[in-house]
Amino acid sequence: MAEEKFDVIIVGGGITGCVAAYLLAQAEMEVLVVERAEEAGQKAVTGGRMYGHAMEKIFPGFGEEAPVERKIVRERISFLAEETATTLEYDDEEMRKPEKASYSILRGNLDPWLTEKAEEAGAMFIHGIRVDKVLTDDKGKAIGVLAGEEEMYADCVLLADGVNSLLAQQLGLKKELEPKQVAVGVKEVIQFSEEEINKRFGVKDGEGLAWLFAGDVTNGAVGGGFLYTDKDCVSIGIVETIEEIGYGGVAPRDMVERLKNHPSVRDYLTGGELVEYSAHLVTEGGYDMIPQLYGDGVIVAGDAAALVMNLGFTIRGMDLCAESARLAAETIIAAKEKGDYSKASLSLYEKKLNDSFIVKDMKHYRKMPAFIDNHRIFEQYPGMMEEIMKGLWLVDGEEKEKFFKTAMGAVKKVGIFKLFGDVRKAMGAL
Amino acid sequence: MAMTIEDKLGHNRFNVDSSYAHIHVKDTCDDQKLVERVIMACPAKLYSQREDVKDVWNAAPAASSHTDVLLSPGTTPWAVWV
Repeated sequence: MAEEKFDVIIVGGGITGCVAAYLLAQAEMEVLVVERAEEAGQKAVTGGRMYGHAMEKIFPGFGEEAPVERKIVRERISFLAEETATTLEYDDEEMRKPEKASYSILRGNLDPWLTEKAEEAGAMFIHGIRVDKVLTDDKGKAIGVLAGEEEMYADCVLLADGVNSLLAQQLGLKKELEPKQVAVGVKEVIQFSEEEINKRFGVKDGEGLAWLFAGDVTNGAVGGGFLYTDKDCVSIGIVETIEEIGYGGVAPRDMVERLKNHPSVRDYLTGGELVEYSAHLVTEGGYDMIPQLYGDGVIVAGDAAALVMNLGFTIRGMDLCAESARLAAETIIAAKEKGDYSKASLSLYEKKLNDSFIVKDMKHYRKMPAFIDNHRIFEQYPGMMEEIMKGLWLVDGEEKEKFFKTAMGAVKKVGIFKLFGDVRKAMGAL
Repeated sequence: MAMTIEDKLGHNRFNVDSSYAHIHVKDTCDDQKLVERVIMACPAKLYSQREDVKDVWNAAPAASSHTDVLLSPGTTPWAVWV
Protein backbone atom coordinates (compact mmCIF):
# COMPACT_ATOMS: atom_id res chain seq x y z
CA MET A 1 0.00 0.00 0.00
CA ALA A 2 1.33 3.44 -0.86
CA GLU A 3 2.28 5.71 2.04
CA GLU A 4 -0.23 8.41 2.83
CA LYS A 5 1.04 11.75 1.68
CA PHE A 6 -0.43 15.07 2.77
CA ASP A 7 -0.49 18.28 0.83
CA VAL A 8 0.89 20.09 3.87
CA ILE A 9 2.30 19.10 7.23
CA ILE A 10 2.25 21.89 9.77
CA VAL A 11 4.63 21.63 12.71
CA GLY A 12 3.08 23.37 15.71
CA GLY A 13 -0.57 23.73 16.65
CA GLY A 14 -0.51 27.24 18.08
CA ILE A 15 -2.19 30.26 16.53
CA THR A 16 -0.05 30.19 13.38
CA GLY A 17 -0.45 26.46 12.86
CA CYS A 18 -4.19 26.44 13.51
CA VAL A 19 -4.98 29.44 11.32
CA ALA A 20 -2.94 28.05 8.42
CA ALA A 21 -4.53 24.62 8.88
CA TYR A 22 -8.01 26.15 8.88
CA LEU A 23 -7.42 28.11 5.67
CA LEU A 24 -5.66 25.27 3.86
CA ALA A 25 -8.36 22.77 4.84
CA GLN A 26 -11.01 25.20 3.64
CA ALA A 27 -9.23 25.15 0.30
CA GLU A 28 -9.71 21.37 0.37
CA MET A 29 -6.08 20.57 0.90
CA GLU A 30 -5.02 17.54 2.93
CA VAL A 31 -3.50 19.04 6.08
CA LEU A 32 -1.83 17.42 9.06
CA VAL A 33 -0.87 19.43 12.15
CA VAL A 34 1.66 17.85 14.50
CA GLU A 35 1.66 19.46 17.94
CA ARG A 36 3.97 18.54 20.77
CA ALA A 37 1.54 19.30 23.58
CA GLU A 38 -0.90 16.61 24.67
CA GLU A 39 -3.74 19.12 24.42
CA ALA A 40 -4.25 22.30 22.44
CA GLY A 41 -2.88 25.32 24.28
CA GLN A 42 -1.05 23.27 26.87
CA LYS A 43 2.38 24.58 25.89
CA ALA A 44 1.39 28.02 24.70
CA VAL A 45 1.93 31.11 26.81
CA THR A 46 1.01 34.69 26.10
CA GLY A 47 1.13 37.79 28.27
CA GLY A 48 -1.22 38.43 26.72
CA ARG A 49 -3.14 40.66 24.45
CA MET A 50 -4.11 39.95 20.88
CA TYR A 51 -4.98 42.69 18.41
CA GLY A 52 -8.09 41.40 16.68
CA HIS A 53 -7.80 42.80 13.14
CA ALA A 54 -5.97 39.83 11.60
CA MET A 55 -8.31 37.28 13.14
CA GLU A 56 -11.37 39.30 12.06
CA LYS A 57 -10.22 38.86 8.45
CA ILE A 58 -10.06 35.10 8.89
CA PHE A 59 -12.94 34.58 11.33
CA PRO A 60 -15.43 37.42 10.85
CA GLY A 61 -17.00 38.18 14.22
CA PHE A 62 -13.92 36.80 16.00
CA GLY A 63 -14.33 39.14 18.98
CA GLU A 64 -17.87 37.93 19.56
CA GLU A 65 -17.43 34.24 18.86
CA ALA A 66 -13.94 33.34 20.08
CA PRO A 67 -13.21 32.66 23.74
CA VAL A 68 -11.39 35.94 24.29
CA GLU A 69 -11.27 37.24 27.84
CA ARG A 70 -11.97 40.99 27.68
CA LYS A 71 -11.85 43.74 25.11
CA ILE A 72 -9.05 46.12 26.08
CA VAL A 73 -10.45 49.64 26.35
CA ARG A 74 -7.88 51.22 28.62
CA GLU A 75 -4.11 51.48 28.25
CA ARG A 76 -1.90 52.22 31.20
CA ILE A 77 1.88 52.46 31.40
CA SER A 78 3.74 53.04 34.65
CA PHE A 79 7.33 53.93 35.41
CA LEU A 80 8.02 52.43 38.80
CA ALA A 81 10.44 53.68 41.41
CA GLU A 82 10.72 51.77 44.68
CA GLU A 83 7.53 53.18 46.18
CA THR A 84 6.03 55.35 43.47
CA ALA A 85 4.54 55.03 40.03
CA THR A 86 4.40 57.69 37.33
CA THR A 87 1.53 56.55 35.16
CA LEU A 88 0.11 57.48 31.80
CA GLU A 89 -3.42 56.29 31.11
CA TYR A 90 -5.39 56.35 27.88
CA ASP A 91 -9.04 55.59 27.17
CA ASP A 92 -10.43 55.55 23.65
CA GLU A 93 -13.90 54.73 22.34
CA GLU A 94 -12.29 53.56 19.11
CA MET A 95 -10.78 50.62 20.96
CA ARG A 96 -14.30 49.20 21.03
CA LYS A 97 -14.57 48.96 17.22
CA PRO A 98 -14.00 45.38 16.00
CA GLU A 99 -11.36 46.38 13.44
CA LYS A 100 -9.36 48.27 16.09
CA ALA A 101 -10.13 46.10 19.08
CA SER A 102 -7.65 44.08 21.08
CA TYR A 103 -8.43 41.36 23.57
CA SER A 104 -6.86 39.80 26.61
CA ILE A 105 -6.30 36.15 25.85
CA LEU A 106 -5.63 32.94 27.72
CA ARG A 107 -4.13 30.44 25.31
CA GLY A 108 -5.52 27.54 27.28
CA ASN A 109 -8.95 28.77 26.14
CA LEU A 110 -8.18 30.19 22.70
CA ASP A 111 -6.10 27.37 21.22
CA PRO A 112 -8.70 24.61 21.69
CA TRP A 113 -11.24 26.83 19.91
CA LEU A 114 -8.84 27.41 17.02
CA THR A 115 -8.04 23.71 16.84
CA GLU A 116 -11.74 22.89 16.67
CA LYS A 117 -12.21 25.42 13.87
CA ALA A 118 -9.40 23.84 11.86
CA GLU A 119 -10.69 20.33 12.52
CA GLU A 120 -14.19 21.31 11.44
CA ALA A 121 -12.69 22.62 8.22
CA GLY A 122 -11.09 19.23 7.66
CA ALA A 123 -7.56 19.50 9.06
CA MET A 124 -6.15 16.53 10.95
CA PHE A 125 -4.30 17.00 14.24
CA ILE A 126 -1.87 14.77 16.08
CA HIS A 127 -1.12 15.89 19.62
CA GLY A 128 1.61 14.76 21.98
CA ILE A 129 4.30 14.07 19.38
CA ARG A 130 7.45 16.08 18.92
CA VAL A 131 8.81 16.58 15.42
CA ASP A 132 12.54 15.95 15.53
CA LYS A 133 13.46 16.49 11.93
CA VAL A 134 12.26 17.77 8.60
CA LEU A 135 12.84 15.03 6.02
CA THR A 136 14.50 16.15 2.82
CA ASP A 137 15.23 14.48 -0.51
CA ASP A 138 18.69 14.25 -2.00
CA LYS A 139 18.37 17.77 -3.39
CA GLY A 140 17.48 19.23 0.00
CA LYS A 141 13.77 19.72 -0.67
CA ALA A 142 11.52 19.21 2.35
CA ILE A 143 9.38 16.13 1.81
CA GLY A 144 7.95 15.48 5.26
CA VAL A 145 8.80 15.14 8.91
CA LEU A 146 10.07 12.63 11.39
CA ALA A 147 7.64 12.71 14.30
CA GLY A 148 8.46 10.34 17.10
CA GLU A 149 9.50 7.21 15.21
CA GLU A 150 7.16 7.81 12.32
CA GLU A 151 7.99 9.35 8.98
CA MET A 152 5.20 11.43 7.50
CA TYR A 153 5.28 12.87 4.00
CA ALA A 154 3.91 16.01 2.38
CA ASP A 155 4.40 18.28 -0.61
CA CYS A 156 5.08 21.17 1.73
CA VAL A 157 6.10 21.62 5.36
CA LEU A 158 5.01 24.71 7.28
CA LEU A 159 7.16 25.41 10.33
CA ALA A 160 5.07 27.04 13.04
CA ASP A 161 7.03 25.55 15.90
CA GLY A 162 7.56 28.65 17.96
CA VAL A 163 10.29 31.03 19.06
CA ASN A 164 13.12 28.56 19.26
CA SER A 165 12.46 26.78 15.97
CA LEU A 166 15.08 24.09 16.03
CA LEU A 167 13.71 22.72 12.76
CA ALA A 168 14.32 26.01 10.94
CA GLN A 169 17.82 25.97 12.41
CA GLN A 170 18.36 22.40 11.23
CA LEU A 171 17.44 23.44 7.69
CA GLY A 172 19.82 26.37 7.81
CA LEU A 173 16.98 28.88 7.52
CA LYS A 174 17.52 30.38 10.94
CA LYS A 175 20.54 31.07 13.12
CA GLU A 176 20.79 29.98 16.72
CA LEU A 177 19.10 32.59 18.90
CA GLU A 178 21.31 35.09 20.67
CA PRO A 179 20.67 36.08 24.29
CA LYS A 180 20.09 39.72 23.37
CA GLN A 181 17.43 38.77 20.82
CA VAL A 182 15.11 37.02 23.21
CA ALA A 183 13.66 37.49 26.65
CA VAL A 184 12.25 35.14 29.20
CA GLY A 185 8.69 35.85 30.26
CA VAL A 186 7.33 34.59 33.56
CA LYS A 187 3.64 34.86 34.27
CA GLU A 188 1.03 34.16 36.89
CA VAL A 189 -2.72 34.01 36.49
CA ILE A 190 -4.54 35.13 39.60
CA GLN A 191 -8.21 34.43 39.94
CA PHE A 192 -10.99 36.63 41.32
CA SER A 193 -14.64 36.84 40.39
CA GLU A 194 -15.70 38.73 37.27
CA GLU A 195 -17.43 41.33 39.46
CA GLU A 196 -14.31 41.79 41.54
CA ILE A 197 -12.20 42.46 38.44
CA ASN A 198 -14.75 45.04 37.28
CA LYS A 199 -14.72 46.71 40.65
CA ARG A 200 -10.98 46.74 41.24
CA PHE A 201 -10.03 47.96 37.78
CA GLY A 202 -13.04 50.17 37.15
CA VAL A 203 -14.12 48.35 34.00
CA LYS A 204 -17.42 47.02 32.68
CA ASP A 205 -18.36 43.42 31.89
CA GLY A 206 -16.35 42.24 28.91
CA GLU A 207 -14.01 45.22 28.97
CA GLY A 208 -10.56 45.45 30.44
CA LEU A 209 -7.20 47.05 30.94
CA ALA A 210 -3.68 46.58 29.58
CA TRP A 211 -1.02 47.81 31.98
CA LEU A 212 2.72 47.82 31.31
CA PHE A 213 5.50 48.60 33.78
CA ALA A 214 9.12 49.67 33.54
CA GLY A 215 11.69 50.47 36.19
CA ASP A 216 11.75 48.99 39.65
CA VAL A 217 10.14 45.74 38.59
CA THR A 218 13.36 44.54 36.90
CA ASN A 219 15.60 46.46 39.28
CA GLY A 220 17.12 48.34 36.37
CA ALA A 221 17.61 45.44 33.97
CA VAL A 222 16.25 45.70 30.43
CA GLY A 223 12.74 44.32 30.64
CA GLY A 224 9.42 45.17 32.15
CA GLY A 225 6.18 44.00 33.63
CA PHE A 226 2.65 43.52 32.37
CA LEU A 227 -0.84 43.09 33.72
CA TYR A 228 -3.90 42.23 31.69
CA THR A 229 -7.40 41.84 33.06
CA ASP A 230 -8.99 38.60 31.93
CA LYS A 231 -12.63 37.65 32.43
CA ASP A 232 -12.37 36.45 36.01
CA CYS A 233 -8.63 36.64 36.55
CA VAL A 234 -5.57 38.78 36.08
CA SER A 235 -2.49 37.86 34.01
CA ILE A 236 0.56 39.43 35.60
CA GLY A 237 4.18 38.87 34.79
CA ILE A 238 7.54 40.13 33.69
CA VAL A 239 9.83 39.89 30.71
CA GLU A 240 13.60 40.16 30.96
CA THR A 241 16.09 39.99 28.13
CA ILE A 242 18.18 36.84 28.49
CA GLU A 243 21.40 38.79 28.18
CA GLU A 244 20.35 40.90 31.17
CA ILE A 245 19.77 38.05 33.57
CA GLY A 246 21.78 38.79 36.68
CA TYR A 247 22.14 42.52 35.93
CA GLY A 248 19.88 43.81 38.67
CA GLY A 249 20.52 40.87 40.96
CA VAL A 250 16.89 39.76 40.86
CA ALA A 251 15.89 36.48 39.24
CA PRO A 252 13.04 36.72 36.71
CA ARG A 253 10.85 34.50 38.90
CA ASP A 254 11.39 36.92 41.81
CA MET A 255 10.60 39.93 39.65
CA VAL A 256 7.02 38.70 39.45
CA GLU A 257 6.81 38.86 43.24
CA ARG A 258 8.45 42.28 43.16
CA LEU A 259 5.79 43.54 40.76
CA LYS A 260 2.93 41.96 42.68
CA ASN A 261 4.12 43.60 45.86
CA HIS A 262 4.78 47.05 44.46
CA PRO A 263 2.59 49.65 46.23
CA SER A 264 0.94 50.63 42.96
CA VAL A 265 -0.10 47.06 42.20
CA ARG A 266 -0.54 45.02 45.38
CA ASP A 267 -3.98 46.30 46.38
CA TYR A 268 -5.38 45.18 43.04
CA LEU A 269 -4.30 41.64 43.76
CA THR A 270 -5.13 41.18 47.43
CA GLY A 271 -7.12 38.02 48.10
CA GLY A 272 -6.70 36.56 44.62
CA GLU A 273 -5.90 32.90 44.10
CA LEU A 274 -2.98 31.77 41.93
CA VAL A 275 -4.29 29.37 39.31
CA GLU A 276 -1.45 29.20 36.79
CA TYR A 277 2.29 29.72 36.70
CA SER A 278 4.10 29.59 33.38
CA ALA A 279 7.12 30.81 31.46
CA HIS A 280 8.23 31.14 27.88
CA LEU A 281 10.73 32.74 25.56
CA VAL A 282 9.73 35.97 23.86
CA THR A 283 11.30 37.23 20.66
CA GLU A 284 12.74 40.72 21.06
CA GLY A 285 14.99 41.23 18.07
CA GLY A 286 12.50 42.92 15.74
CA TYR A 287 12.91 43.19 11.98
CA ASP A 288 16.59 42.28 11.93
CA MET A 289 15.82 38.93 13.50
CA ILE A 290 13.54 37.70 10.69
CA PRO A 291 15.15 34.57 9.25
CA GLN A 292 15.11 33.10 5.75
CA LEU A 293 11.36 32.57 5.41
CA TYR A 294 11.17 29.79 2.85
CA GLY A 295 13.10 27.04 1.17
CA ASP A 296 12.41 24.17 -1.17
CA GLY A 297 9.14 22.73 0.09
CA VAL A 298 9.20 24.64 3.36
CA ILE A 299 7.85 27.88 4.84
CA VAL A 300 8.52 29.44 8.26
CA ALA A 301 5.75 31.48 9.92
CA GLY A 302 4.67 33.10 13.17
CA ASP A 303 6.98 33.11 16.17
CA ALA A 304 9.31 30.71 14.37
CA ALA A 305 9.85 33.54 11.88
CA ALA A 306 10.44 36.01 14.76
CA LEU A 307 7.35 38.00 13.83
CA VAL A 308 7.01 39.89 17.10
CA MET A 309 7.24 43.61 17.86
CA ASN A 310 8.11 44.84 21.32
CA LEU A 311 7.57 48.58 21.17
CA GLY A 312 7.85 49.22 24.87
CA PHE A 313 4.37 50.74 25.05
CA THR A 314 2.77 47.67 23.50
CA ILE A 315 3.75 44.20 22.38
CA ARG A 316 2.41 42.64 19.22
CA GLY A 317 2.89 39.06 18.18
CA MET A 318 -0.33 37.13 17.85
CA ASP A 319 -1.80 39.37 15.14
CA LEU A 320 1.43 39.00 13.20
CA CYS A 321 1.27 35.22 13.65
CA ALA A 322 -2.29 35.06 12.33
CA GLU A 323 -1.53 37.25 9.34
CA SER A 324 1.64 35.36 8.46
CA ALA A 325 -0.34 32.11 8.67
CA ARG A 326 -2.89 33.54 6.25
CA LEU A 327 -0.19 34.62 3.81
CA ALA A 328 1.60 31.29 4.11
CA ALA A 329 -1.67 29.49 3.39
CA GLU A 330 -2.32 31.66 0.33
CA THR A 331 1.19 30.91 -0.92
CA ILE A 332 0.78 27.17 -0.44
CA ILE A 333 -2.61 27.18 -2.17
CA ALA A 334 -1.05 29.01 -5.12
CA ALA A 335 1.81 26.50 -5.14
CA LYS A 336 -0.62 23.59 -5.28
CA GLU A 337 -2.46 25.18 -8.19
CA LYS A 338 0.84 25.39 -10.04
CA GLY A 339 1.99 22.01 -8.81
CA ASP A 340 5.22 23.67 -7.82
CA TYR A 341 6.46 23.77 -4.22
CA SER A 342 9.98 24.81 -5.13
CA LYS A 343 11.86 27.57 -3.36
CA ALA A 344 11.15 29.90 -6.28
CA SER A 345 7.44 29.21 -6.08
CA LEU A 346 7.29 29.63 -2.31
CA SER A 347 9.17 32.94 -2.50
CA LEU A 348 5.70 34.42 -3.08
CA TYR A 349 5.32 34.18 0.71
CA GLU A 350 8.13 36.66 1.28
CA LYS A 351 6.65 39.04 -1.27
CA LYS A 352 3.28 38.84 0.46
CA LEU A 353 4.88 39.45 3.84
CA ASN A 354 6.81 42.43 2.50
CA ASP A 355 3.59 43.91 1.15
CA SER A 356 1.73 43.31 4.41
CA PHE A 357 1.53 45.39 7.57
CA ILE A 358 3.83 42.86 9.23
CA VAL A 359 7.08 43.74 7.51
CA LYS A 360 6.06 47.37 6.96
CA ASP A 361 5.41 47.87 10.69
CA MET A 362 8.47 45.89 11.72
CA LYS A 363 10.60 48.03 9.41
CA HIS A 364 9.12 51.23 10.84
CA TYR A 365 10.18 50.16 14.31
CA ARG A 366 13.45 48.55 13.29
CA LYS A 367 15.47 50.74 15.65
CA MET A 368 13.23 50.04 18.63
CA PRO A 369 15.17 47.03 20.02
CA ALA A 370 18.38 49.09 20.04
CA PHE A 371 16.58 52.02 21.68
CA ILE A 372 15.05 49.85 24.40
CA ASP A 373 18.43 48.29 25.13
CA ASN A 374 19.32 51.27 27.34
CA HIS A 375 19.64 50.97 31.11
CA ARG A 376 18.74 54.61 31.69
CA ILE A 377 15.13 53.85 30.66
CA PHE A 378 14.83 51.25 33.38
CA GLU A 379 17.26 52.52 35.97
CA GLN A 380 17.30 56.31 35.92
CA TYR A 381 14.24 57.77 34.22
CA PRO A 382 11.68 56.28 36.65
CA GLY A 383 13.60 57.93 39.52
CA MET A 384 13.83 61.19 37.60
CA MET A 385 10.09 61.18 37.04
CA GLU A 386 9.48 60.35 40.68
CA GLU A 387 11.49 63.35 41.78
CA ILE A 388 9.69 65.67 39.36
CA MET A 389 6.27 64.39 40.43
CA LYS A 390 7.11 64.76 44.10
CA GLY A 391 8.02 68.37 43.33
CA LEU A 392 4.63 68.89 41.75
CA TRP A 393 2.34 67.20 44.19
CA LEU A 394 3.86 66.66 47.63
CA VAL A 395 3.00 69.40 50.09
CA ASP A 396 4.01 69.19 53.75
CA GLY A 397 3.78 72.79 54.93
CA GLU A 398 7.52 73.41 54.58
CA GLU A 399 8.74 75.96 52.03
CA LYS A 400 8.69 74.35 48.61
CA GLU A 401 11.60 74.66 46.22
CA LYS A 402 10.68 76.28 42.91
CA PHE A 403 9.41 73.50 40.68
CA PHE A 404 11.76 74.39 37.83
CA LYS A 405 14.72 73.95 40.18
CA THR A 406 13.41 70.58 41.37
CA ALA A 407 12.80 69.42 37.83
CA MET A 408 16.20 70.55 36.60
CA GLY A 409 17.85 68.92 39.59
CA ALA A 410 16.21 65.61 38.67
CA VAL A 411 17.18 65.96 35.02
CA LYS A 412 20.78 66.87 35.88
CA LYS A 413 21.16 63.66 37.84
CA VAL A 414 20.62 61.76 34.60
CA GLY A 415 22.47 64.30 32.48
CA ILE A 416 20.81 66.82 30.19
CA PHE A 417 22.75 65.72 27.12
CA LYS A 418 22.03 62.06 27.81
CA LEU A 419 18.35 62.87 28.17
CA PHE A 420 18.26 64.82 24.91
CA GLY A 421 20.22 62.06 23.21
CA ASP A 422 17.72 59.47 24.38
CA VAL A 423 14.77 61.62 23.33
CA ARG A 424 16.34 61.92 19.89
CA LYS A 425 16.87 58.18 19.70
CA ALA A 426 13.29 57.62 20.82
CA MET A 427 12.02 59.89 18.06
CA GLY A 428 14.17 58.02 15.55
CA ALA A 429 12.93 54.64 16.80
CA LEU A 430 9.30 55.72 16.76
CA MET B 1 3.27 35.68 52.52
CA ALA B 2 4.91 35.14 49.14
CA MET B 3 4.41 31.73 47.62
CA THR B 4 7.41 29.56 46.92
CA ILE B 5 8.25 28.44 43.41
CA GLU B 6 7.38 24.91 44.47
CA ASP B 7 3.90 26.12 45.42
CA LYS B 8 3.58 27.95 42.15
CA LEU B 9 4.65 24.94 40.12
CA GLY B 10 1.78 23.10 41.71
CA HIS B 11 -0.39 25.39 39.61
CA ASN B 12 1.60 24.98 36.44
CA ARG B 13 -0.68 23.35 33.92
CA PHE B 14 1.69 24.13 31.08
CA ASN B 15 5.05 22.91 30.00
CA VAL B 16 5.81 19.95 32.19
CA ASP B 17 6.35 16.71 30.34
CA SER B 18 6.60 13.80 32.67
CA SER B 19 8.06 11.63 29.91
CA TYR B 20 11.37 13.38 29.49
CA ALA B 21 13.46 16.23 30.80
CA HIS B 22 13.80 19.21 28.51
CA ILE B 23 17.31 19.96 29.62
CA HIS B 24 19.99 17.32 29.57
CA VAL B 25 23.27 17.79 31.31
CA LYS B 26 26.02 16.98 28.85
CA ASP B 27 29.07 17.89 30.79
CA THR B 28 30.27 19.94 33.69
CA CYS B 29 30.70 23.66 33.39
CA ASP B 30 33.66 25.62 34.65
CA ASP B 31 32.15 29.03 34.06
CA GLN B 32 30.92 30.01 37.50
CA LYS B 33 29.17 33.15 36.24
CA LEU B 34 27.23 31.12 33.72
CA VAL B 35 26.26 28.67 36.42
CA GLU B 36 24.96 31.51 38.58
CA ARG B 37 22.99 32.97 35.69
CA VAL B 38 21.42 29.63 34.83
CA ILE B 39 20.39 29.16 38.45
CA MET B 40 18.90 32.62 38.41
CA ALA B 41 17.27 32.29 35.00
CA CYS B 42 15.24 29.12 35.29
CA PRO B 43 11.64 30.16 36.02
CA ALA B 44 11.03 26.84 37.69
CA LYS B 45 14.13 27.11 39.87
CA LEU B 46 15.25 23.66 38.85
CA TYR B 47 18.95 24.37 39.05
CA SER B 48 21.11 24.57 42.09
CA GLN B 49 24.79 24.50 42.75
CA ARG B 50 26.21 21.35 44.20
CA GLU B 51 28.54 21.92 47.08
CA ASP B 52 31.11 19.35 46.03
CA VAL B 53 31.68 20.40 42.43
CA LYS B 54 31.15 23.46 40.31
CA ASP B 55 28.28 21.99 38.45
CA VAL B 56 24.60 22.42 37.95
CA TRP B 57 22.01 19.73 37.69
CA ASN B 58 18.44 19.45 36.68
CA ALA B 59 16.14 18.13 39.30
CA ALA B 60 13.18 17.24 37.16
CA PRO B 61 11.60 17.82 33.78
CA ALA B 62 12.13 21.51 33.23
CA ALA B 63 9.63 24.18 32.43
CA SER B 64 9.98 24.79 28.73
CA SER B 65 11.03 28.38 28.85
CA HIS B 66 13.87 27.57 26.45
CA THR B 67 15.99 29.88 28.57
CA ASP B 68 18.75 27.65 29.62
CA VAL B 69 20.14 26.72 26.28
CA LEU B 70 20.37 30.38 25.37
CA LEU B 71 22.55 31.19 28.30
CA SER B 72 25.19 29.01 26.83
CA PRO B 73 24.96 29.60 23.10
CA GLY B 74 27.42 28.13 20.70
CA THR B 75 29.71 26.17 22.92
CA THR B 76 26.90 24.85 25.11
CA PRO B 77 29.24 23.14 27.53
CA TRP B 78 26.72 21.54 29.75
CA ALA B 79 23.15 21.67 28.65
CA VAL B 80 21.06 21.35 25.58
CA TRP B 81 17.44 21.87 24.86
CA VAL B 82 15.71 18.78 23.49
